[in-house]
Amino acid sequence: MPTDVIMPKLGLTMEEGTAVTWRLAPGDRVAEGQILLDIETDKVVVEVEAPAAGVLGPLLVGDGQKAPVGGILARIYGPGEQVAGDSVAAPRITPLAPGMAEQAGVDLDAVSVSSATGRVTAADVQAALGKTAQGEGLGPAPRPPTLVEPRATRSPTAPQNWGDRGARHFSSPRARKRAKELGLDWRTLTGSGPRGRVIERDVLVAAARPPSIPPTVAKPPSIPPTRGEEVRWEAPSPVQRVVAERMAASFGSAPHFYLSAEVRADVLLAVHDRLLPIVERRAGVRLTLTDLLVRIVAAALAEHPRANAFWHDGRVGVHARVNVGIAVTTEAGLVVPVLRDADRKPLAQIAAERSELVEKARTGRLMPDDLAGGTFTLTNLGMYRVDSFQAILNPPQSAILAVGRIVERPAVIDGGLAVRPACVLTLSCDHRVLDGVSGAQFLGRVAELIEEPYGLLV
Amino acid sequence: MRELSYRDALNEALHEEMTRDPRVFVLGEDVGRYGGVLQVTRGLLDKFGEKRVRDTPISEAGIMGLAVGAAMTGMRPVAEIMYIDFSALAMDQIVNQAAKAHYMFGGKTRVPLVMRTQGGGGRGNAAQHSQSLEMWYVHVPGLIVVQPSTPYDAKGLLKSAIRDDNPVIFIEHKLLYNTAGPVPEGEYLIPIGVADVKRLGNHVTIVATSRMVLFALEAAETLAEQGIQAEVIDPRTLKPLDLATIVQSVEKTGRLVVVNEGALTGGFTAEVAARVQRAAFDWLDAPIMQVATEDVPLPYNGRLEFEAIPSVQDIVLAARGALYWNAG
Amino acid sequence: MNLSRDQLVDLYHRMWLIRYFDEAARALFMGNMLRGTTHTCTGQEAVAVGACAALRRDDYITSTHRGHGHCLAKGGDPRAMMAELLGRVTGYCKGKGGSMHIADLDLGILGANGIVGGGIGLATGAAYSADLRGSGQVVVCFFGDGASNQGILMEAGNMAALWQLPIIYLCEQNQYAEFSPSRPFIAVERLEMKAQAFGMPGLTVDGNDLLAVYQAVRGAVERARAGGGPTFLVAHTYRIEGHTVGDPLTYRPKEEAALWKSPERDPISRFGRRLVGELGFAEADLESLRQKARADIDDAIAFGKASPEPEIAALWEDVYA
Repeated sequence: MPTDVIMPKLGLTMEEGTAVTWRLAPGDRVAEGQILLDIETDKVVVEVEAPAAGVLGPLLVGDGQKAPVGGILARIYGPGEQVAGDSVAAPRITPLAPGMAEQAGVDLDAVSVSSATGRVTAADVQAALGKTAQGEGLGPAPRPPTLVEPRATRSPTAPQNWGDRGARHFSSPRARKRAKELGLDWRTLTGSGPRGRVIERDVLVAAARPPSIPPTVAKPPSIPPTRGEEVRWEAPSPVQRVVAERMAASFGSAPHFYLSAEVRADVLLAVHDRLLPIVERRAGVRLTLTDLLVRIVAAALAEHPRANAFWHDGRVGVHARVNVGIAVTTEAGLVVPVLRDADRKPLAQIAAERSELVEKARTGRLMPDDLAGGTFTLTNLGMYRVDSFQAILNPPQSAILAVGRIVERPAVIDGGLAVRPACVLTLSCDHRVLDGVSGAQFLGRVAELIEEPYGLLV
Repeated sequence: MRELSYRDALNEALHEEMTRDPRVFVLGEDVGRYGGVLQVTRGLLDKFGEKRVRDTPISEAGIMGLAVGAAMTGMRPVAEIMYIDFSALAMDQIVNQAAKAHYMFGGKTRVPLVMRTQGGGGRGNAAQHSQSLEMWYVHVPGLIVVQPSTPYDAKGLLKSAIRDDNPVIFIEHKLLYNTAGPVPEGEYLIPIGVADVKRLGNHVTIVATSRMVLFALEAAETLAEQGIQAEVIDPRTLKPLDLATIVQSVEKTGRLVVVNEGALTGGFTAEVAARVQRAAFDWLDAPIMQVATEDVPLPYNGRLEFEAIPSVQDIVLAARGALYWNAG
Repeated sequence: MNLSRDQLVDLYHRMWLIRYFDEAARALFMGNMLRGTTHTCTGQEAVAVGACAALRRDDYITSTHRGHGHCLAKGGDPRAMMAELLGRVTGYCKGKGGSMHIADLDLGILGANGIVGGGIGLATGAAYSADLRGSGQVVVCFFGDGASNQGILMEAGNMAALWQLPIIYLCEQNQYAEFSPSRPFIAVERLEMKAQAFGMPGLTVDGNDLLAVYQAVRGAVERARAGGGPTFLVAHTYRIEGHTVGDPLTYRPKEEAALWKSPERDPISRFGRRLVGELGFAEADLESLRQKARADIDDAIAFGKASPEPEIAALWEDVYA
């Protein structure tokens, strides 16, 4: 019996995952424990190891395709086992749809489903795209630009390495012909094929975009370096890629606005000093200012549910629980582990859990459950020389609190000038969920609790 | 419509043509009393007698030579070469004599013969009984090469081959004889040189021959589950090739997978790819994919043979590759 | 002897026709008028003419790369043949066959053949066809001692004997196989012994004696036509020229060819002597026949040279019927 490679269930909340990048191709030899592919859950990219040694069979879930937890991604065939005609479990979104939607800028969730199976199909995406495609099928969407050549080029002499995307700009003949017909310059388009090859779909998608957003304007990153300029290209890690995509999507879709407030921190520091030995005794971990901030933010969120909400499909969803995400920078990139029910946990427990999450993040052992379910994010650059900063919302959350460093600042007290430690809080808000006043009320409460942490006891 | 096996469809074609035209006769090893190693000629001896249903010695060159001479002098022989592998023994008769006579003698000689034979692997017959040598004959001007994939096509094409005034290499597949399919009662012909679209689709064109047509149709089912609509074209006649039907499809889909059971190098897939890129370059949205047998003599062992011959999954992967769908 | 005087005159004329045709072919080739290669049958005229004299117009022959003689002997038109050698559209094959590929189905000539032994299989098929159709036609399959070593002879000979086909396998033992003497390559003492393996009569005849060839073939033809089956007949003769025009003939002594060219052995001289000595023909009549043959060939050359070359469009014509 061949061994199934399944979509692992990496946490209680995980229902499905996406195969991001297969590291091996069908027919490749696999050692047990070898990394087979990267999968992406709603929060994290995880490497999947081969459960057995053998030969990798056909990829049942290709790059970019989703599979339910437990779904078979591929099979590994041991000696004596014949590669059978594997079939794929029907996905809820047909494989064509996501790539096409992504390329065309169509929100898959906004696409109305026409098929009886309830699956979102390419045709649905195309219908959502509108009429500009001139009755021509866009054809199925391409997958990321690696190509399993069938047996024709399986021989060792066959070129397998596409090499660097150099200065040349590739296109298929069909794409060029179609671009000409549609009056587009294919050289200005982003190709989705191997080596960035512009294929017909890219042309049709470009043609289908509203003319007010000419595709040529929308891509400054493709401006090549001037001649003679030396550039070293670095591929992002899977985590970096996900972050990049999410941040770009967030910044492009959620209307951000920012509220700032300076708060005194002398009492907070004093409380921290007093509680430090107590927490250490109780939980065996060192209490940090972040722990205190988590506790304070959680309390404020419980009182101001609008800041613990999200925008979806024209409506506001309000979370019942308060799960505070803590932004942690690791070698692999930015991750946001989540401290659940932070409004109901004692400080010692928060400190213990925070400590464990950060440690896992630094050593790359975070599991998807650790990253799932955040309702608000706290990002603290207090340890760096940053006075204040504006964070990008962590979608679909509607608010994120950015905390700068605590430094001695002059303050006017009772008409006199005094010096005391203070820091600047900056709240980023999704205006679809929070308006200025509700944002200000929430930020005000946070400021109040930082300045007078004893309020937590009330 | 009634169902007939590929074998019975061929047998029926022979019965009908021999009844219709007294010039038609069959010859070959074990074709008479035994009814043919694959039983395609059974019942003919009793009906038409031993001169028209000639059991021959094991002499492939002699069989084909005799067929050439008889064809040049007014008969319409249908010679059976038990396995296409054995046709190598008769190569001079087929290539230097049958294929050349009409042109070489200024158009005054005709060689209306049919060489019926069977090719293909998949049954563990090993290196000398499993080859797909159709391209040897496709390469020779003057020959017509036919490879039916269904009982319906087999009957209609064999009748057309017998009536054709040229030497026709009619290649059956050893794993198709027991397949069944609809075959209408009564007379019908399938024209030589006309492809058949076995399945309609918009996303990718799959051109496949002989048993690979069945594989391609199965692959198309799998692809459909994944949201890919494949168009499957069976050329039926490899030479002359109905390029127009293929090009028309590629103009629609922009993507082409060519599947053939012959060895990859210098094979049918390369030939079709070369012609299509010339005829439809501006319509291609992806490189043309080739799915063919490994460049090895076919092994006896089942695992090895399965690995060597294209599988349904190979076709699925190639089609996905043509759509930029696979990871690597 | 059941040949009329007119027939004998015709046979004599035809031998000269062959001699002059091949001399002309040789000269044209050396004059760079012919492409490819050309094989002459000088010295073997009696075999072709004697054998074909025993055949009906609708009987079949298959010929060889050294086939000009067979074709002329069976009634081939020197004009169409010469035009073919010159690659002209008026040639037997519209200029697309050349010296080695002349056929005339109307005369039962199933073609010369560029493959040594290439005619053996199809000759047997023609015999099978004649038998199937009950036409009473007989086939003479010409081939040489070199071709006698080809495997197809074994296969076809067996079939012909099995089914008692009306065919004569006529082996012209001209003593050379391409650029080598044939003797060192033939294991049996005498070629006709091969007939035993096929299960058919094996006969031998002096191939430079036209009337002897005629008698032998006639006997075999009569037997075949009556349903008596095939015959293997070996005609001993000599290839006076090389394998091809331009062959340096380094593999044989010069004196050998000189001996066979002598009037004692030359088949045309021998037949002429019998016509004059035994059958009462006048020397002068024979001389005028010789001159007529020469004139016929001159006319054929003139015809060929005056004929147009094929249009380019002909390249793609007649690939398929």
